[in-house]
Amino acid sequence: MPSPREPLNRQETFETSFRGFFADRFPPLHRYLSRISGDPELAEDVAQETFVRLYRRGVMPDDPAAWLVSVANNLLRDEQRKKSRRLRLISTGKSQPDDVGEAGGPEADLILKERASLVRGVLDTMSQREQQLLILHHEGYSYQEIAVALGVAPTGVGTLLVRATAAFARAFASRSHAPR
Amino acid sequence: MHPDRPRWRAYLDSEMEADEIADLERHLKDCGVCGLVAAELQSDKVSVAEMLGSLEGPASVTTVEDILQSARRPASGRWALIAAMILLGFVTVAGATIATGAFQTIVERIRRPPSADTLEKSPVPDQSPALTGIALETAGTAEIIFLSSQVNGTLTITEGDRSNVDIVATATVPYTVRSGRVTIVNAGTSADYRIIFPRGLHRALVRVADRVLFSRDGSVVRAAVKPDSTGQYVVSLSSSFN
Repeated sequence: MPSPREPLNRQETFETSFRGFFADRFPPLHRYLSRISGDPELAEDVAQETFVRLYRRGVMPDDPAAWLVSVANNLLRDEQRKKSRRLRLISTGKSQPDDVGEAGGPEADLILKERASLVRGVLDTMSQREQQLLILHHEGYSYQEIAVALGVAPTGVGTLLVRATAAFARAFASRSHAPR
Repeated sequence: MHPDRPRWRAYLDSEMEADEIADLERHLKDCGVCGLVAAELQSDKVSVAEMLGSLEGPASVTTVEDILQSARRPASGRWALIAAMILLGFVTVAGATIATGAFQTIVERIRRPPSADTLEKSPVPDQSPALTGIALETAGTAEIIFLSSQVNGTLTITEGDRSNVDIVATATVPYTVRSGRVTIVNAGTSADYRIIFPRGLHRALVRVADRVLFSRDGSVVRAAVKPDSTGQYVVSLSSSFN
């Protein structure tokens, strides 16, 4: 017969695993969302909401990392559709955070910003699926996690990665050699 | 028969079982063509990783306690409502008219310099060209996060007899409001800020990057500096705090 203590133990166990999972998985999810959206603030919001939903679920999904990405992708898509929801106090002056890199002085900052802008431009030429695939892999997600998160066959992830990497390299070479 | 590119890619990504790795490595020993393919794939992989690395943004400021607090709170939508009101306020700044009372308050603060009582003892210079701010209704708790330290800039924290949290800045700075938290995207800016919490607010927190500068939990107040003779906490937003 279950003791009255059991439900609390289950909750404690879930919370303990949730805390560990958060420490392990929040940073890469946030970085993934930040890179895919180009908007660190939106990424923070979406990553938070995703983890709030995971906590409210009360149990870990079968593949929690893939579950997170899948939910986060849906939330991000919704947020981007209603972009006007973004809050921004605008009257005069600079409104867009563009702090890519900090050390190295203004010249190094400029180079980093130029490169980031170039990379963003290259990603924009690719399909959403290719962008997700490359960035998820870059963040250390396994083939299995990527497959579940993006709804593709695990055996196809290698093929998709090869194609996406080649497409990225071609587009990057073409843009970086193009006259500005 | 040569393994195809996806197999080599899986090999490079360590996404293979040990026996398959052994097979490929045996093949690689005797096959110059596959050696070139693997080298090319590895080179592309490294290049793409370097490029994607350049998209690094600010680190997250979220803690697991933030998530737990938010997840346990009933989804009242209160802050979402406030956020929507402020958003409408921004539209209004661009020229439309205002509909509701609470809304009016917020927009007026954005449009004009704060009233004399707000400016009293304020570090904000008089010549500030675009003093901006927000007023936020709270449900007993408020958290203000500055994502970065600044090269210049002063933060003044005080309490006043009011029902809203007021945040006033000397420059226009983007921010978001979510789940009882205001996140100010201040990287690369140098504004001065003044935060006025309602007197008696149960819980308040002000953080710059990962450093808590001020917190109130009931009657317990912790701050990075002592209050001045007028009871205000005046702290620098410079990197010396990191």
